[in-house]
Amino acid sequence: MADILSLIIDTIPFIAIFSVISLSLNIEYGYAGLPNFGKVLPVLGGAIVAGSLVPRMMQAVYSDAPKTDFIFNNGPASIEIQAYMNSHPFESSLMMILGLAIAIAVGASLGFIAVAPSLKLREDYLAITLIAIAEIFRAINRNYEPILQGTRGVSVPDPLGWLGPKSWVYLYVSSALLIASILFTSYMLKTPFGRALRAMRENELAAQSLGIDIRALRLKSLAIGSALAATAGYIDTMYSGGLTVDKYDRYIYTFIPWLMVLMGGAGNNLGVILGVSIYWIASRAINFYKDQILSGIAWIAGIGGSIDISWFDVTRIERLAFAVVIILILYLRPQGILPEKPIETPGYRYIESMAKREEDRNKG
Amino acid sequence: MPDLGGLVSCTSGFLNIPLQQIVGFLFYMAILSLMGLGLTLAYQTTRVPNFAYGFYIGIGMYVSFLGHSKILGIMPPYPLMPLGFLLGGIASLATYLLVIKPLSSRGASIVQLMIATIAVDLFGSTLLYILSDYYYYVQKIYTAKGFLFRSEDVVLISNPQITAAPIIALVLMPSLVILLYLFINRTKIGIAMRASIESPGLAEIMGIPTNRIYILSWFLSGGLGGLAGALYPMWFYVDPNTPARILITVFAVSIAGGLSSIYGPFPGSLLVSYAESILPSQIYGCLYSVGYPYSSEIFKYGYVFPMILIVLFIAFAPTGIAPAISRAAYRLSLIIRVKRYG
Repeated sequence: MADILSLIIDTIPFIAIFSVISLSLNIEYGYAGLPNFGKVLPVLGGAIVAGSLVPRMMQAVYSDAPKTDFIFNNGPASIEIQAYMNSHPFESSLMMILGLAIAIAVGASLGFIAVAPSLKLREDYLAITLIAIAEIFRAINRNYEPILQGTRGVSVPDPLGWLGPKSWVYLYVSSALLIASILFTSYMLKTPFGRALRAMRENELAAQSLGIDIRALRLKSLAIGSALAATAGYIDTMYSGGLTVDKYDRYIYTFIPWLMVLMGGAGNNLGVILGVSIYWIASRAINFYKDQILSGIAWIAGIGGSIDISWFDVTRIERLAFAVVIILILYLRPQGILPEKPIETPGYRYIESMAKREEDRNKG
Repeated sequence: MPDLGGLVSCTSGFLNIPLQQIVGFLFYMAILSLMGLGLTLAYQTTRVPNFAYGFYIGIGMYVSFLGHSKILGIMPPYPLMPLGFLLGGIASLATYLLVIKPLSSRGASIVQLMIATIAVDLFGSTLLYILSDYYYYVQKIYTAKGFLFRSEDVVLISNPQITAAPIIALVLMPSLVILLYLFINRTKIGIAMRASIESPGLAEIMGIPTNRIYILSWFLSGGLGGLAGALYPMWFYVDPNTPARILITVFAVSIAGGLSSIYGPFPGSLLVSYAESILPSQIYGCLYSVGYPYSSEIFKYGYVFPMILIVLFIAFAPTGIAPAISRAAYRLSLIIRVKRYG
């Protein structure tokens, strides 16, 4: 029983955080058709608000908060601020909420800045710009020490530490974030805005002829997607309790969300969450069976004999496998496991009922 | 009278560039132009930015590594350069035949093709990591995770030390430009290639086997990457992460030059090489001479400069430098003609 419980505690925050990132990518790619290859940018933005800004805001706003320098004396400062947060539940909760709002604003601004240079251009230029801007942002945060101590990173105090054991608290917090994100994206995509996004994805010229402003739509979809991704980065950092820029690399926070979206089904929120779950299971399975995988490789490499491949890093297998999986998905089932469904607007329902009636009449 | 002392010392710091750095700049420009040429060539055929290009460059780098005294013992590894070209070309061809072509014939969008090339890059770079792990942990060659062959190169001038690599690169680059020019303007295949790039449908109607032309272009594209990659460790440090980092620099070369022009990478590489290898030390020289305490910090950001160039070009001049140069050349030729014939 304890094992199952610890598995749930271990699994839910991961699935929730990556689902939120993938849902945000689904808005951008699944609905709007924009290739955001710089997904790591807003996630890191949100993470920095949590890891670098919230503790310092706490120090600046409350005069009785410990004043040890948070960046250059991070170890002691982090412990002192944590103790202060634990003894001041109201103040720290307020900071947590304020930080989340700032993370949303930072994420939206980063999305806005990243898409602005290539508003008028084709998707490939947009993709390259987004990668470049994400890398510039990472480089600045990696090298400019007053933000995160350079490559050393910081230890992050938890504003919700007073609530109880961290794993339980963040089980609820991340689940709440996921539910809110699902409700938000599902609602948004049923509005005229959501339909305009799909229109833009299908045919930009046709959408423009119907009066849809493509540039404004690109800006808005990237800004909304980035704001959502920033909340995931924010909660992720609060949960993990530490932040280094190198944790937020192109593979985990850009390529993997793409894999999840394409595998589950671009344009289908439920499919995306399914994609995240499958990734989680596959990744854990590779980790769990790594000894068997290694001996299998040794067997193949030695063609039946036994050679020593203890040097082989099994995490490499995961990368090779997921690279192949993504190409196979694009080849065999580009719509993903759960394909996109048509939006059930009143007009769509009417046409569907008319078609059914016609069908019945023909049968009769 | 304003105090001009700071400005004067800043300018002198700005202009004080050591010879070895200029040589490094020229070498970097030459290999970047080869890499950029390859990337642009593949882009022009299928209109897909190939994010797997770093992998072909990485193949070239590790082919040079095989020249290590404990492996093949060919040092300096210049005889291995054709192998770098061949293997880079084969990897690129495999990307085209196994991934790009089947996917595009199934109607994949540009975005889907781009993500497929990212997957190829991930696959290929992981293979290179495994190779470096093997040589590091099994063969105990500890340079497998970081190598530089400048000290093993043939020394041409001893003070300041200038090795053979920059000279080879500087001979190779212009000769390839001339060959390329002759190839696409004078040979039948070259003209067919230009036709297939400019208008694939029309070229096919005229009986040009566009698929074969694309195969050739993709092979050449990866081959150039492999060749340039094989030269890279003769002057610069390489670790398994270098191909991923240099990919963005090569994109900067192609975009600054203009993705629509086959000659774009040449002015593009000039600009990018300057921005990465000379500009940071010029800024340092200027800041240091005026007494700015954190002036050396600028070197940490050297690799960011090409990325900034990408953003600036896409925002303000997405067609790049090459079309502007050809427009200027056209205007000049008009002026000359008008003057000559009245």
